[in-house]
Amino acid sequence: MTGTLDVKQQQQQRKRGSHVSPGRGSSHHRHELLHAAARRRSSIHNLNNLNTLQRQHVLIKEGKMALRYRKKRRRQSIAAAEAEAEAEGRPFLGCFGWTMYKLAVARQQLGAAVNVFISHPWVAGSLRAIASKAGSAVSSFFELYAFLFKLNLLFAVCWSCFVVLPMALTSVSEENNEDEGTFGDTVLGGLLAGTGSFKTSILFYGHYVSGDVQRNYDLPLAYFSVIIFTFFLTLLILVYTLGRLHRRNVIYHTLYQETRIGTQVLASWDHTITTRAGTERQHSRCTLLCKEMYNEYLRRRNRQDVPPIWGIIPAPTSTVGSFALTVLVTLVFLGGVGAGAYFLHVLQESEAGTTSYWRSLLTPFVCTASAWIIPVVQQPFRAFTTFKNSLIRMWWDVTVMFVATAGVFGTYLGTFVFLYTPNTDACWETRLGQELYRLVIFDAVFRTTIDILWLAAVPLACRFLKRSPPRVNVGALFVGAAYSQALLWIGFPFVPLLPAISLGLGIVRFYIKQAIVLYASSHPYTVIRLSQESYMKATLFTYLFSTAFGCLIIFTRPPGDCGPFQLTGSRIYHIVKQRVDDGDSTVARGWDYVFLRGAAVPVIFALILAVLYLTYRHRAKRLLVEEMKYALDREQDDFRKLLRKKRVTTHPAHLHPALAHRADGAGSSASPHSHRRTTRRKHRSHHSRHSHHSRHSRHSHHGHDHSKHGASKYGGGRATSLSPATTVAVSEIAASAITEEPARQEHKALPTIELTASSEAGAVPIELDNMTGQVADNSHQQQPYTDDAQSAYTCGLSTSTAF
Amino acid sequence: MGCSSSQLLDAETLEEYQDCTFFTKREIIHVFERYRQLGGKSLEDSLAMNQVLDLVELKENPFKERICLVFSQFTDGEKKGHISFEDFLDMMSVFSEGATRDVKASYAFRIYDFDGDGYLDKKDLMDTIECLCGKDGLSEYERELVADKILEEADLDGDHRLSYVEFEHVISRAPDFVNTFRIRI
Repeated sequence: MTGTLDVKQQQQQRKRGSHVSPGRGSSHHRHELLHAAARRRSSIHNLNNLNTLQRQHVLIKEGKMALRYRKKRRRQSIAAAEAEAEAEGRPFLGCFGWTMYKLAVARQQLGAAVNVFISHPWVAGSLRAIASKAGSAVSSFFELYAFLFKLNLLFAVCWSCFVVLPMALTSVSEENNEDEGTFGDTVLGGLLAGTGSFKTSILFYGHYVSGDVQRNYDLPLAYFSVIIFTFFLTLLILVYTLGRLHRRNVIYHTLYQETRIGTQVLASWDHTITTRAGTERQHSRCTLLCKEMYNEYLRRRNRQDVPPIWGIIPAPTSTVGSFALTVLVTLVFLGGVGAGAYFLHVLQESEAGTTSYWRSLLTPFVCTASAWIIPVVQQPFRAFTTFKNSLIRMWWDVTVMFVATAGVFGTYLGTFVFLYTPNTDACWETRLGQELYRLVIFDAVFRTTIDILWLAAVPLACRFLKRSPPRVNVGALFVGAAYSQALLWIGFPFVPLLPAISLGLGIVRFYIKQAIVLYASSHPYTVIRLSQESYMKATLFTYLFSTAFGCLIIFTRPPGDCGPFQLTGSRIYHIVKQRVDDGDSTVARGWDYVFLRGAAVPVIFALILAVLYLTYRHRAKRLLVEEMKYALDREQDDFRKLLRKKRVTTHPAHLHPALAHRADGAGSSASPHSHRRTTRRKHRSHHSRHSHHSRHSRHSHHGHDHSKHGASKYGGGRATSLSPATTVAVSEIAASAITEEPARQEHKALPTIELTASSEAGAVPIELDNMTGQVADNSHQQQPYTDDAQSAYTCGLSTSTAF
Repeated sequence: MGCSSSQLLDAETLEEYQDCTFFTKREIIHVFERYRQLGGKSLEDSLAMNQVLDLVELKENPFKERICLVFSQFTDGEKKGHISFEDFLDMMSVFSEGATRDVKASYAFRIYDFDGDGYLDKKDLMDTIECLCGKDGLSEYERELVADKILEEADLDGDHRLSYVEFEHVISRAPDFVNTFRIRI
């Protein structure tokens, strides 16, 4: 194979006359070199205006021939370049050329070094392990988790460098006697609830008073600047990532949906794996991938019926009926959640002003428990989501979970802010920070405790009961991650150490969740794929919602009598105006010009984001157009090659009899089918039970076979000697070339890849024993997996790369 | 008493290899050291396939035999599959981080082409899927179904096999391909 390609390329090279014998000396030689140089001059001058050697070597490096031929080509190109330089009386490669060449090599080395540094092998290893056990959809959630972790790391670095460290190095914690003598005054109590000495430490807003720090460092301005900077930076990163994913996926989802299985399967093997365990995991991952992709394809094609509700009640068959039922049940569920939120509101009002340490922890605990329990309670209600489109079903359920969680959380926080008016507490920012801190800690402790108990109990229980563990619910995982992240985005202006705390908690929770996926859960049977772009949109929405809430609090309430902004006046952003007024008059005038125009800055920023978004969409569409042009060119080339092979003219008179013959003999529909589709249908007819086009396919099949050997069998394959079947096939090609709208493909019953132990032995779902990785004995389960799909579906992501 | 790598690889040779591969000089010397650890003595020497398969990075790779056959300059005879240093260097260069997508796709195509006819037919795809999923992964029937689906998707000219152009068209849509088609040496 290698030899064949290399020989062909060698022949091409010979034709181009690139064999130049190097060397100087005789005039005959110089004459030859001059001619060679002259021939090559046009190709060399077509290159960019850099140095000849560098560009030639790029072409040599990227050549697909063997190394020994590339070496030969390199020598020839150097000889040619030297000859040309000598002929023109200039140095071979000037100073500038060599410098650029060396810079290019150094850039390559730097790029390789940076790649190694940021490749995060420990994260990549975890993701591979998860993908091999639970499939690509579940591992994609963990990729999102890793992306959020990197975002929080950026937050933590900014806040630590510009706010926390300057304050920590120059100040000491103040004494706080509020919780003296209580559990809240202890280290553990203070760590859990942000009370005692923690309340007046660098943990919370109130401690950041510009006193000693002010002499060398403008803390209020730094505090405000970091808030604004991290806000805008996060938004830019999310929009940029969204645009990049859209640009990457637009072709994948728009044009090349047809190559999805091929792309996923043929590029699935990871050659970086070197261990036996890793290889076995990779085999498992590829097997799951093949089954997932194929079953997803079937589901999209066949549009499977919605299974009965709870296995008993038949689902409505009409669209209106299913929509009405879904909306009704969703409203009932949301009504229940609303009642719970009202209960939380009443509880908060009754606990307002309490001094008891444990009673003050009650409402954050209830809010956290509610956020965790909502996906669990929603599980039985999901059976009533009866849309036929599985993607819409999944989106509906995730949105309901999201709205319910946001409603409970928003009610809690809104009530708190309403209760703690400026008159109630002099330092409402610290009090709000305390509450948000408690929510973060409770969320981490609560979920981690549940996860650890799950990890300990579920494998044992499954062994004892001889059942498989519950399946991974990626939708619930995402809503939980969005809730945790929203807490951070709202809380960081009030709790500057919150990003750093979230980092530590995030690492712990990542590995605990990984352990649950690997050892205490089953892979999802039915995978509904979302693009990473969709997940990023949901994350962006969470961010905007959280930031809007935070901005509402910060920019509408006057600062309290504590913290860095206590002297700024009625709004914290007045700090900037004060500094500008105290500074250079030119800057002050420019500042007034920009910011006294009301909404100038937000409008400008919104315009920048809109331009950014449109730029990405434009680039994506341009890429799409280029790909379509390439595909069209290739189709035309293939068509021309096929015509040349069959040696058929496109004279209309020649086509008419063929079309008439096809209409009479095949008995298929009169609308033209593309040759490609016919061949695929013919190929499928070997497996399909419905051989609707089998007669027609057989005609095409035979025609195609004959056409391949047309030259030998029919003495040169001239138009007049072609068989009618071949003519039929060619006429279809010609017809397809002028057809604008291809005929719609009919849905056929296609064979399924059941996730069964044996396709012949009966439908027994495959269950992997998570402790040993062996296939468990599930002969007691009689139903095939498709009947179990009602409770088994989950949402997932495509196997695109990490963020 | 053996010669050191720097004695065997002179400056001109290193320069040549650096220009023709995606490695720097230091990396080329490192690759040569690994080659010598497998048993290679000089640049002109060649290793048997089973010696190359002892390489840690290739040992558990299900495509290891195909990789050796593709990069070997000896396509038949007693020395079929034998790997010279240049073949070894070429192999590592193609699998390195710096290699471009086109080069990787080209060699991936050759690796998957089990019968070496320049096309990926159904048998090649089934063999590829068997290597990907392991012997206990999919049944033959399931492999056939997946291979049929791949052909249905990617076979544009209807000849029941994938040419390099069609394969490249499919593989270029995988964003992870460049990262996963890599051997870290």
